[in-house]
Amino acid sequence: MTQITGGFSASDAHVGMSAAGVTFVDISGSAASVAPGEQTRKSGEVYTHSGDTAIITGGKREPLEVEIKIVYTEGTGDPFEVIRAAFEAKTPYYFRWSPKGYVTGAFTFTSDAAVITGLTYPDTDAGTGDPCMCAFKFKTAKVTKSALVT
Amino acid sequence: MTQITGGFAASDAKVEISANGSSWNDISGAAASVAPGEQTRKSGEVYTQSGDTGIITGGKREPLEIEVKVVYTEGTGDYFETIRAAFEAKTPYYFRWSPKGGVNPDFQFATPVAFFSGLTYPDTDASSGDPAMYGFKIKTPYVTKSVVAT
Repeated sequence: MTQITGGFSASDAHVGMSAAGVTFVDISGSAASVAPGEQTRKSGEVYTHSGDTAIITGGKREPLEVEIKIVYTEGTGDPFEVIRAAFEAKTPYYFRWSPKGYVTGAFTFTSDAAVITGLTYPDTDAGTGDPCMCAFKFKTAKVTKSALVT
Repeated sequence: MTQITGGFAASDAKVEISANGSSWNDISGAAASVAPGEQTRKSGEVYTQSGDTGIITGGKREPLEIEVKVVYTEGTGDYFETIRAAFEAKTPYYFRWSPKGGVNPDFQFATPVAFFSGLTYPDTDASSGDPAMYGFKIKTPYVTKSVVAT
């Protein structure tokens, strides 16, 4: 195979969240990274008295968690406050991200209505000039790939 | 979303402890960092005979631990002795921090009454010129966000 073309940095990715899964609020200007965990499929194996290897079967897909790190800000309606409130109230949200950015046709990965399962409050460090950050995780049964419509 | 504004370094954060939740001792001049662990929400999943993915439900929030690193000093009334004594006696304390600095209308994060769940005694390193440090951890069922009063 000749060397692939079309690789890109995901530094301009699009990240959105939505209460109803229809209209997504763009949080790309606050989000610093999206780290999806591996989604795994249950599997099993059995050995018979014949043969040297196992018979492997596949089950259902297991849930996955996705971690998003965001810049901590205190403005009214900023993502931290929306996410904190949703975490505390167990309010489900839909999330999506497009590694290539907010571009028509870019691949987009969208969660189901997902529970926010983790919230990391802002840390502090007197020895750094880095922006104060926070993070959250959501757990979803699956992620659906589609092409972004802008 | 355009790039967010209002981000800041948390190098001037305010960190406080309190024995009663009303009278607070400012330990910002000794505290070097606050590292809140992730607070997680219990979640579960079940599979049905139909469908390829699980049904995910959310449970209750689990406790979190917050780790604070502090400059080790031995002066009368310095906080190492206060915290060590409270740790050994299982004396409950309140803890709060304000990433931005603790001035109205900054955000503030406070624990309910909580125990010191960990104490790291001062270390030594003959090859280092860094200040001797110690650390403590607070374990809390939740953190409450508020706005610093005037």
